[in-house]
Parts: sequence; structure tokens; C-alpha cells
Amino acid sequence: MTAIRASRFQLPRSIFGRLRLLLATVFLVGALGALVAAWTLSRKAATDAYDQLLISSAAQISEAISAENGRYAVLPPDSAFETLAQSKDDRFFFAVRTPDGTLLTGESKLNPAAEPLRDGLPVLGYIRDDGETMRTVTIYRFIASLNAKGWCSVVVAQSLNARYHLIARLMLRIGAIIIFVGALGFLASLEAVRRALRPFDRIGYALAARRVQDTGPLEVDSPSETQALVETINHTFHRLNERLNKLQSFAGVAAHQIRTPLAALGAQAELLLIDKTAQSRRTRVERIRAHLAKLSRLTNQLLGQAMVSYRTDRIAHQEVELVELMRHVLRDAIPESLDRDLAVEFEPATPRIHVPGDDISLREALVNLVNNAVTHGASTALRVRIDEEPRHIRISIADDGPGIPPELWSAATEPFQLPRAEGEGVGLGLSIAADVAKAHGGTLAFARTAEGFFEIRLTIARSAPLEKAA
Amino acid sequence: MRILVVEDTPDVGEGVVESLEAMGHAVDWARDGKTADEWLRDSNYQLVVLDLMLPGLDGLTLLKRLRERRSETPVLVLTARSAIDDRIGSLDLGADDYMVKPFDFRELQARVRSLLRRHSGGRAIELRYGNLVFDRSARTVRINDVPAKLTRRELSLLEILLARPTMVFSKAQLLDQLFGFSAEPTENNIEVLITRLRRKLAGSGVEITAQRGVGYRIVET
Repeated sequence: MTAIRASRFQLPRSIFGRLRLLLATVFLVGALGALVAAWTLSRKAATDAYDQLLISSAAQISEAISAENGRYAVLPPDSAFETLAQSKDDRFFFAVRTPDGTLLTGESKLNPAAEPLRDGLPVLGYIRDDGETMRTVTIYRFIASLNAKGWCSVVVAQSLNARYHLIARLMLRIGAIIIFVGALGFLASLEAVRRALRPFDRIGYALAARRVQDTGPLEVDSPSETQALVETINHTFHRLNERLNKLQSFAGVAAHQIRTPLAALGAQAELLLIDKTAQSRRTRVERIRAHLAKLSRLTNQLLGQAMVSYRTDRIAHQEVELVELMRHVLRDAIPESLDRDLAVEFEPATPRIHVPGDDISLREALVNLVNNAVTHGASTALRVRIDEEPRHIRISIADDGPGIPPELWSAATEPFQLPRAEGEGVGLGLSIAADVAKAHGGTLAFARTAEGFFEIRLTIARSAPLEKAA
Repeated sequence: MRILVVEDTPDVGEGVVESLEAMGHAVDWARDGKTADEWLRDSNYQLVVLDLMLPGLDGLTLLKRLRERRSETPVLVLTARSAIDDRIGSLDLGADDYMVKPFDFRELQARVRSLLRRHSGGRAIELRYGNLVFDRSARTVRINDVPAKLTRRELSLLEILLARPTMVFSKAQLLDQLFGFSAEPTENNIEVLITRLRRKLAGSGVEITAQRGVGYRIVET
């Protein structure tokens, strides 16, 4: 079995390669066109010039026809053949005939053109002779004397070699000029393209020469045409830089948040070994338990954040039903062992509300919000609503607790930014929820309701962000 | 109540068993999936506390087999896996609740109590009595088709009483099912709770009546 390979033409990958191909095609087609035009013109010029010689020769012969006493005679002058003999490679012959067609002189195989019978008008044509094409001219002459009267004909034939030589000579020169000018233009265009593309090379070299740590603006001398590109690159670097800085400070704070309770745990365990009274041991165990609880929460939130940021980048959104999701969230996020009694209110306006989204990220965000509200906020009531707005779905989680003071609202969604009392959460929950909201084309906002409830509002775009942009 | 704990990590298993025994339950502890599967076939448990990562037979398979045998025993899943997919998967396979390790033992006790309470009156999702409808999955109550604003504890109390209408529950029983033995709330809390619930049930066609010296029950008026 033979493999059939479809030989498909592929365009070059580089702009330079493509332009080179385009320019080569244009110049080649142009040069071919110019050569064809030159050939047509040269042929016409050569034909006209040699035809003129042939006609004058035939005219001179015809002038020499005479009639006396009813007999025709011709004595062609030498000059009639001089010009024709100048083309050394060519044969020529002629025939002069009386009005009744009798050959007066010359070659009998040469016949005059039939028409028209007008005095002195040359008629041009071609014949084949001895395997060669020959040019012919026929001139009729009206002879009128006493006993003889009628149309005598003169035919002169000449082979074409001299014409061919002239065409070849002309074409050689014109062709050389066309090729020279074309090649010059082609090379000049290539150089122009190369120069136009050079700034890209410079930007590329400048980027390649950078060290990984270097995220400052790109220092490259660039013409105004590529300035926008350089600015875009610099803007990207700037954003990357910001992100890196944020990540670095996040890692620093996270390390602190993990190491502090670990150190405290170690210290309390050590003290437990040397404690004498049951009372003080009990106090130590209580503290160990509190630190452990804090560490567990932090671990969960760090894992939650890692998962959300992974899913934000890679998981495609699908249809999510929010009412059922919220019921699960309420069941998961409110501890059964909560000391306070709580009135939880969730009566959705419609039994089913669908949005495009990632259910796992949304659940993580909402669990964090509800858990925050229950553990730090709600003293007696938690109220959850899902409202449908024209462009967004709004999930509001309100509680009658102290909430976050307005001056901290803008910082609250940054990781580890809220001041924390001992034993409180570590402050990733709101930042996770804000990230998830953003990934769903929405926002996370805070509000105080008319009856003094603290409310967190998470919005989700009703149509996928990409569709909205279209 | 008889509870089966399936957990292979000794330190965790010990804690779970101890804290369930402290609640007054009889606890069996299986340390691998195969043993647990055998015990579940042979005996009747009122609740299973199931770790997902097990040697031999894993927790999800165990759960699947249990549900294939049409057992309605409530299952509380323990998992240390980070992905929430795991939790959703186990809920789809018929787990009734789940907790992510590390967990608080007080929360474990509260969840166990709530699971036993929810399954005391069968698995019906809706409890109807008089003009009152209790939706157990959404945890809402409607009186004459109007949502009633009940707190979580009021809902739990109503759920206990509704599971066996007309049966009398003592204050101690209610206290145990609501808060557990070691909890601080007193019988006085129960009285306050009953009073509040009575007020909210006005016009529902059911009422909570006191049997002096015995306890409380719910009846149709």
C-alpha cells in the first residue's frame, strides 16, 4: 500500500517570507508582461521596416514594365535588387506577368495575389517555399499602349531571416533592460521590507536579552509604528509585576499565619509536659484546641483559594442552578453545634434560577460568605435572597451582627487585610468570594440595609462574559 | 443507638468512637472496608460514620454496595480529600451528610444527633400534620401555605415532635435530642423554646400540649 501524500502548498511562516513571495510574484508577472509587449512591438517594427523595402523593390520593377508593338517587356533596374540583397541570409525571387498571366521574367512558381486590381497598390502576403515561410508583395500595373492593354503583375518574395535577426537583437536589449530594472526594484522592495521589520527584531532581541527578574519597562529605540506594541508589552510586564508582588506578599503573610499557630502549639504542648495542676493543663489543652481550629480553617481556605484560582483559569462554565446550590450551602456552612439559636430565612422568589458558572467555585465562595456571617456576624437572624436583575443575578446574605465597618469595605476583599481578633478567621474568605464573583462577570459588594442588617452582595452575570462581549 | 464507625487512622477513629460513646451510643469500630462490609451485611445499625480513604475496600464502594442493598441507614461521610467533587460524589451516592477533616468533635456530635433525629420518623421529605407542612430538605415550615419564620432550634424541636405525632416526649428526651447530654442548656430552655414555638404555630391546626409531669406532645386541634 502506498501512502498518498497530498502535496499542499504552505505559506511561509514569517512576514518577510510572505512579502518576499508576493514581491517575487508581482515582479515576475510584470517582467513577463513587459517582455511580451516588447516582443509584439519589435515584431511589428521589423515587419514594417522590411515590408517597406520589399514594396519599394516591387514598385521599381513595376515601373520598368513597358509595351511596344503589342509586346510586353521589362528591364528591372539594379537598384530594385540592391536593397533586398543587403540581407545576406535571405533568398529572394520575383515574377513579372503579362495581363493574360504569361510569365515575362522571373520564377514561374510565384503567383500574384488575386485582388485588388488597382494601380500601384501593394498587396502583402505569405507563401511557403522550400520549407520556409516567405513574405510576398504583389503590385499590379495597368499598361495601355496601341496593341496591348491590361493589368501586368509584379510579385517579389523574400525569406524572413533578416527580420528574425532584427527582432532577436531588439529583444536581447529590451529584455536585458526589463530584467535589470525588475531585479533592482525587487531587491529594493526586499530591503524596504527588511528595514520595516527590523524594529520587531530589536524588540525581540531586547526581550530575549532580559533576565527573568527584570520586569521593568522595555528600553528599546522604536519608531512610532511599533510604539503601541512596545507599550502593550510594557503594560503586560507591569501587570505581571504587580501580580508577582501580590503573590510574594501573600506568601509572606500566609507563612506568618501558618507558623504563628504552629509555634504556639509547640510551646503549649511543651508546657503541658511540665504543668503540675489539672486546672492549668485544661487551660493549655483549650488553647491547643483553639490554635488547631485556626490552623484547620486557614488550611481549608488556602486549599479553597488554590482550587478556585485553578478552576477560574481552566474550567469551562456550565449551567448552575442556584436555589438548590444555596440550600446545600446553608446546610454545609452553618455548624450544627452553633451555640446561638438562629432564624435562617431563605425563600427564593422562583423555585429555580439558572446562571452560567462553575458550581464548585460558587459553592466555595458562598460557603465562605455564609460561614463568615454565621460565625462572626448573625446574632439571631440570617437572611439569604436571590434576586433576578436584567443583567445579573444578585445573591444577598444579610445578618443582624456587627458586620464590617464601612471604612474597611474597600480593603476587605484583599487577602489578610481585615484586623482580626484572637480566634477569628484568617481573612481569605472574602477574597475568595471576590475572585469567584469576578470570574463570573460580577462583583462582591457590602451594604447596610434599612433595618440595620449587614449585607454582602455577590452578583453573577446572567450571560457568559464572552457572549456579552460579542 | 447502634453506630458503626469505619476509620483506619487509629488516632482519629479513637476520637470518633469515644465521642459517640460519650453521647450514650453503642459503637462498633471497623478499621478496614472489608470488615465494615461484612458487619453491615450481618447487623443492623442506626448510623454509619464512614471514612472515604480506606485500605481494602474504599468508602465510596462500601457506600454504593450499602445503597444497592436498599439499606436506608443514614451515612455520615468523613473525607480528607481537598476536592469538593468528592463531597458531591458521596452525596449523589447516597451519603446523608459529610464532614471534611480536620473536624471539630462537638460538630461531629451535633451532626450525628441531627442525622438520627431526621431519620427517626422515616425518610419522608415532607411531614404534614394539620395545616402544617414541614419540608425536611429545605428546612422550612409552611402554615396554611404561608412560610413560617422559625429558628433552627424551633425547627429541630418541631421535627422531633412531628416525627411521632401524639407521642409524649419528656423534657430530658427533648434536651438530649436537641443539645446532647453534656450541653449546658437546662430544661428551662426547653420551656422557653416550647412557648415560642406554640406562639408561631397559632392557626396551624396543630398544637403542642403539656402532659403535667410527663412532657410534651403535638396533636391536631
